[in-house]
Amino acid sequence: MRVGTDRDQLLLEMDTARARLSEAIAGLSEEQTSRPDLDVWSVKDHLTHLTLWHELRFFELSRIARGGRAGFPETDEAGIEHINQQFVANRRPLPLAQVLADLDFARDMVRQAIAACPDDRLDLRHYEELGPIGAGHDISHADAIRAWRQREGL
Amino acid sequence: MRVGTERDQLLIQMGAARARLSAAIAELSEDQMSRPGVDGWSVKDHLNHLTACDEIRFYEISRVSRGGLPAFPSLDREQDDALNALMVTQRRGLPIVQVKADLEFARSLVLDAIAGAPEHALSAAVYGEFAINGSIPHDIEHAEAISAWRQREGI
Repeated sequence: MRVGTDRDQLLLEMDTARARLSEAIAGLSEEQTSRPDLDVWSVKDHLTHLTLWHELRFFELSRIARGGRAGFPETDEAGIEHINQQFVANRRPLPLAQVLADLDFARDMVRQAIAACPDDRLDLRHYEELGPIGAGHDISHADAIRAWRQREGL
Repeated sequence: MRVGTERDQLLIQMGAARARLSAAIAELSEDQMSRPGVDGWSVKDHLNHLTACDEIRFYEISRVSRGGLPAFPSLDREQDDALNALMVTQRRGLPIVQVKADLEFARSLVLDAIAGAPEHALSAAVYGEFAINGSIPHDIEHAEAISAWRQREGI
């Protein structure tokens, strides 16, 4: 059931995804989140990957909120994969506490941008490769982490 | 003669470098800015590249200000190419008015982050590839490349 305005709906979906991800990583130690067991990535890698895309998302939202066009039109899968590997590797040495703080900061920036975005610029038709909230992206990674924990008995 | 605090100095030098960039692109038309002439990049590409670097720099300053480590300790050639593919090639179709607006927006956030940064985060030594003062030589480097291209082209 949809509730409230488009803005309310987007924020609700974002918060729901945030909760799903928090639940998926709850109680994991620094060592457990550093194991490269999820398709070569660790839980920390998954989190820094989500952070990167939220960081980019904030600027995309701001661009569109100001009346501009999307800065991320369609991208090929190989290109995205290359970028993901490059930038996750860069953030691999970061400690878990910072990884979580960086993710919170990036999501708060997105939240603020949604809150300040004119109504008509929240229309999904303005967005291309990079959507305004990334809820589906967060949830897909939360599900991957949950499945891994189940397999590992963690 | 140096005046003011370390933060003031940084802001003065950043302002001067950005003024060099503004002078380098002054009075160029949309068409001129879209020609792939400067090392294979158009002027718009150069500006999008600087915007992308300020976008990253904003997060790096915020990260370090919160007591964190930089997320870009270094950037090799492959990573640099990946960054440019993501943030320069992708933005090639944007109109110049938006390119300039994006450049200003990213810079305004960097300036806000510097204004709010604690003393420890003002030292370039605690950063990696995207240092707090990194835009100064970077803006000048691109301004000079554009100026040299204009001189060659007579525009």
